[in-house]
Amino acid sequence: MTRAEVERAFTAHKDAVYRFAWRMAPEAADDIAQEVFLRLLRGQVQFDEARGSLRSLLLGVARNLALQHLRSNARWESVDEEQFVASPFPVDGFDIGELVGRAVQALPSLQRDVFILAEYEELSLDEIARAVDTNVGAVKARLHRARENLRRMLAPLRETAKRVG
Amino acid sequence: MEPLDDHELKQLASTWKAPQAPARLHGQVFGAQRRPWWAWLFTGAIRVPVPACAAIMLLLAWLVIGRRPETAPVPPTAGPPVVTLADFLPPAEIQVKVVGALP
Repeated sequence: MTRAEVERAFTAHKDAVYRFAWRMAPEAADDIAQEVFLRLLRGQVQFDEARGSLRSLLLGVARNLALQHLRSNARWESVDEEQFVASPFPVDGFDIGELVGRAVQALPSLQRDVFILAEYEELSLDEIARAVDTNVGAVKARLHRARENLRRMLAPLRETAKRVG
Repeated sequence: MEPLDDHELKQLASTWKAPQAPARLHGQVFGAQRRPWWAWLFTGAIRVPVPACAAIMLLLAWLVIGRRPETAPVPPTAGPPVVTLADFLPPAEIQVKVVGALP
């Protein structure tokens, strides 16, 4: 991609990439978003229109960098994500949005990324599968488990959910 | 405790807001790459298609070899001598000698 094309991609997708990085690893959001676009600028990331949207490609790169960051900071769960069992979250003394964020960040990484991509970035199952380099079936299963866990974790906020709704 | 339903989860999920990309991000990505325009004169590169490059090389070769004169160039010679009377001195004594008589 030429510099001008990367500038256009930056303008169009910087917020989505930054938001995703912030939700995955808030302390490294700046570095991750910067690295995504630098890789695009240096030609280390090749965009092929036939293989999906540029947005899902960039979010996929951001996802890999975020997981790399979590691994290097020893925040990668050794527990099998299928064995993860969520329990209701303590709700005292927190802002609702912050509580939801903590619950999402408490999910195993492989559930967290698909949940964020589906719920907040509104990617289709196909796009998520491309971004996380797996098949649609696996995405569906992870997304289902993520939602199930969050339903349990956030159950104490049922009354709040009704007010928000 | 009864888990939330899909709708309730969606409502709650929407309360977690993420910030937009900070303005400094543009500088972090593109700033390091920005250099003065004249730096290109020292480090820049241009792409030339092979046919165009070959044509330029042939043209240069023709200019250097094809148009060379067949005879060796003759160094420019000095022009005809210029005669001036600036240094002329009249003789101090004129001796007239008659070599023949008129009929």
